[in-house]
Amino acid sequence: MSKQNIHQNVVDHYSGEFTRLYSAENGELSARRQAALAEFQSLGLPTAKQEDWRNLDLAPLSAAYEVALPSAELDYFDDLDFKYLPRTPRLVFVNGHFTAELSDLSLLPEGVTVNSQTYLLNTNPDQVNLEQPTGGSDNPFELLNRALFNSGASVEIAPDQPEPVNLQLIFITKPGAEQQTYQIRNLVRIGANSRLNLIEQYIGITDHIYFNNVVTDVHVAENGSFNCIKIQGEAPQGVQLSTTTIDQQANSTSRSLAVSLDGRLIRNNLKLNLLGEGAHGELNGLYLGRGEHLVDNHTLIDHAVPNCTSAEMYKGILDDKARAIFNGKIVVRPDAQKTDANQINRNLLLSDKARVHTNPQLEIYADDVKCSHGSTTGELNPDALFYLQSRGISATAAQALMINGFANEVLDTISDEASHELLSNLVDDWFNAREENN
Amino acid sequence: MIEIKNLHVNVEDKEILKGINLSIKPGELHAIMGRNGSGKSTLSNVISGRDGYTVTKGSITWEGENLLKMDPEDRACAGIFMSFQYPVVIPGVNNMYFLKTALNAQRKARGDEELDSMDFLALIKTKVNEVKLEESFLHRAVNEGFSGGEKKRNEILQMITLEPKLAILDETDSGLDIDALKIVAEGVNNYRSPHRGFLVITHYQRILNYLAADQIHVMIDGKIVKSGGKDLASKLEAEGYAWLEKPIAAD
Ligand SMILES: Nc1ncnc2c1ncn2[C@@H]1O[C@H](COP(=O)(O)OP(=O)(O)OP(=O)(O)O)[C@@H](O)[C@H]1O
Ligand SMILES: [Mg+2]
Repeated sequence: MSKQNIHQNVVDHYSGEFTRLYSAENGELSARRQAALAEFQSLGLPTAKQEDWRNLDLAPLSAAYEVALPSAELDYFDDLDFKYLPRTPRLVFVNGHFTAELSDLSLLPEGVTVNSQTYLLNTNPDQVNLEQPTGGSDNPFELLNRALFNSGASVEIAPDQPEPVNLQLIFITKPGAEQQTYQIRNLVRIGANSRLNLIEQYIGITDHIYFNNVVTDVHVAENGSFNCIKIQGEAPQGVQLSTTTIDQQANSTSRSLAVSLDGRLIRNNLKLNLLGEGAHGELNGLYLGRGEHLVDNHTLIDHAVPNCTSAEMYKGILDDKARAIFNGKIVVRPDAQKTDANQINRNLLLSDKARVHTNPQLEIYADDVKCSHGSTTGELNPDALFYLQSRGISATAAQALMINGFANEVLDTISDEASHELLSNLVDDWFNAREENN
Repeated sequence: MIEIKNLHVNVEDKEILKGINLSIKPGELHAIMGRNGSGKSTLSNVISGRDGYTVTKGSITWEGENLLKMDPEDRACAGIFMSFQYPVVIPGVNNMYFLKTALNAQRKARGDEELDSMDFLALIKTKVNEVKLEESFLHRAVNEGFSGGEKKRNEILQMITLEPKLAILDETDSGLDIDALKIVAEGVNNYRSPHRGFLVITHYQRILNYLAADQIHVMIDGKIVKSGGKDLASKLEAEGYAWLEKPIAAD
């Protein structure tokens, strides 16, 4: 069968899934789902010839996954045997199903409305906020998600909250049926002058192949602030495609950190829209790859108006035969004078079979701007290793110190102490597993 | 404590050291002077165990053992320390954490109890004062953004924290202002003891004015061609090295 045919089969498969799940529904939501499906059908699945999908192994994304239904029967789960912040309010989803027993919202302050999307879809479907991404979508997986989603969280923070709100969204995948897809859609709205610190964590505890197709739309109103740490700890056979859009109004700030720890294939599409003057956005990332894993970060920062600043730092550590892609695009529109944007991508290769494709793309249409970018890829500096050894530190300990040092530059962007410790521990676990294997 | 005999060393098939003999006993301070490229750093690198050097002949014995068979970290734990001519920047690795890791690795290797954070902090605060570095240097990445002189003082800080039996100072005095030079010299003098030896590599007589060297050696083209006392340094400073080289065929 040719590629074209396989892809058509998969498109047909998802059309069939749509019929299975939603053909009985009608109303506004249903119409919007239909429209998204039609767009998905005409766009088709991506091919390696498309610029945005180059160098990526598309097979894990292009399989015919069965759409999982959030179900209470499947969510039995004895304990949260993984690292998270026990004292921070949390919503926990198991195989897409919101699980009240594992969640804890007791410490959530007033002024915050948190819901599971499944609940909203079941009780008041036409009120479900189905944002169109700013600038439309040319991403078939976002469209697929819009057509099929049945899980995720909705978080709304009223304006003028005096204290920052802390929240964790935890998505666990445990053994279910083979080859399922979880269509998760999160919506985050932060009112003017309010602040949110969000941890969005994915944990795979299964040997099955699965596909998390996640869309997260974030809106930060004037003078608001959004601080987010996405933790991608998928199971070794897990696949995640994540499409995040952050819209920022005037004088708002955002800082996003994506930490990719595990998963057969991780692809992140992250778009930051600086829509109001005086907005400041930061995108940071740390991706760790081992085995034959592939991590792909595609970021786009859109400076649409004057006087905004953005900073981006992505660092990768790749072992074994792992591969990474970093594609960082910055657009400065004609009106966006006095833009200040900088981007940096650094990669550390721990094996001579690891590979990185890095591609900065600057599109600058304004003249009074400051933009910089740089990228490096290299191995551990042998002189530095010797320096540490010459002080009595063993070769393995010296390597670990240096790898940690490389990662720390990104982790140190986390100002909250508990979150910093959580991430340091998760990264340490990754290194320790590496040492055990070596 | 260290006994170097007829040491020949190649770098990429080129012979750099051509038969070095040198013996340092506990309590002694030896100095090596010599032109650029004569092999001084090669000797200190071979003693501390850096990769890329092939010993083709000769031996180094450390407290009766074959030093050349030991890994660099084991040499450090056995009490050998080198102050680098060009200290290396280690991005993202906190200077204090590095020092604590190093000290505890050495203590552990010797069977001493490791220091906890509190004890280490107390120790390092007194040490950092001795080399007149601000405490903020402890919280920066190792050597990152340090000036040339600050890097050298950071080397001395490591030396006085790790308290080695043999300290090799490879041009630690180069590029230092007068005050920093005195700090380095004091670092050495305060830590001289009947149990500790020093090997000071330098181009300048001035540091030797502060340090009482037991012997001064002159290295030319991978060999020690002359050894002597303080006067030798003065003569070299005044006359250079030419008089020590093989006389060119008489005219
Ligand atoms: N890794 C290497 N590759 C090639 N040549 C080397 C290497 N290391 C040392 N050499 C050569 O060996 C010789 C001795 O170098 P070394 O650094 O020991 O000199 P030095 O006496 O310390 O000089 P300086 O006073 O300039 O520090 C030089 O000619 C140098 O180029
Ligand atoms: Mg030298």
